[in-house]
Amino acid sequence: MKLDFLKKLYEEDLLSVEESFDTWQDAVKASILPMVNKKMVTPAYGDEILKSVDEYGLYIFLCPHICMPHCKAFSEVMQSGACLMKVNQPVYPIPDDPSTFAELFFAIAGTDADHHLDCVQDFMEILDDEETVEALLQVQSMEDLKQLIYGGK
Amino acid sequence: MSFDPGKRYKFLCCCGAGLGSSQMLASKLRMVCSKRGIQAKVDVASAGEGVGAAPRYDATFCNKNFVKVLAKAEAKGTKIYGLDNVINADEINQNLDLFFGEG
Repeated sequence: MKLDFLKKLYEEDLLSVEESFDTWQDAVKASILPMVNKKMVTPAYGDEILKSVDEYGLYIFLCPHICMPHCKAFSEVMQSGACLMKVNQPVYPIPDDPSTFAELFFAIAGTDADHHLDCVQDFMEILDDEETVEALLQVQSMEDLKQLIYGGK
Repeated sequence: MSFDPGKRYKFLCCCGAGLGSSQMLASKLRMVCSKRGIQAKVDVASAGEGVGAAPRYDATFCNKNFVKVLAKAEAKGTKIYGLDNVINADEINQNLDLFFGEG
């Protein structure tokens, strides 16, 4: 399992677990909060992502289970990075479309295109590993996450 | 065109800004091509740039949300493949099959 990046995120307070959200917009805005708290992005970054989705469609929902909130508002990013939020109740952005949903929100932000790409690749490593993704989907609390990262299998 | 193992194909991956999903798609596409023995140069671009650039490529792949934006390029005869899941190797494989089966 690819736990190194998760461990790093945990140690830097960039992991969160939430129960549910009323709207997908709330979920997206919540997903970047750890980075806002650490002053890596401005609070406006979340709004910029929503604006970007208005323009381009729901491109951030990459595939079943996975949403990757991101946009090219480089000016709202002070420090490149990423954070991960697990939502226990799947978020369905399109009414009546059960095929588009996510429980894992990998939010990324780059100060420029190159840094953005680095963050994408960090996540690709986790996403490529089915075992890790499965394990993340089973997590229901921060305790579970801690157990996953440090408990070791 | 049916698959020609001697040819180096040019594929383009597009998304909103050429930054996020296109990078992931490009990465997966390179892996799939490598497994299938397809020589390919895979580039990324924003959907906006893609409209102009797509005709220079053998095929363009994107998340289905961007197919509309690329429609103008498709009208010029270039092949656009919209994916439900940009990081799913099976779906990429299926679309490659379509590409090699057509024309």
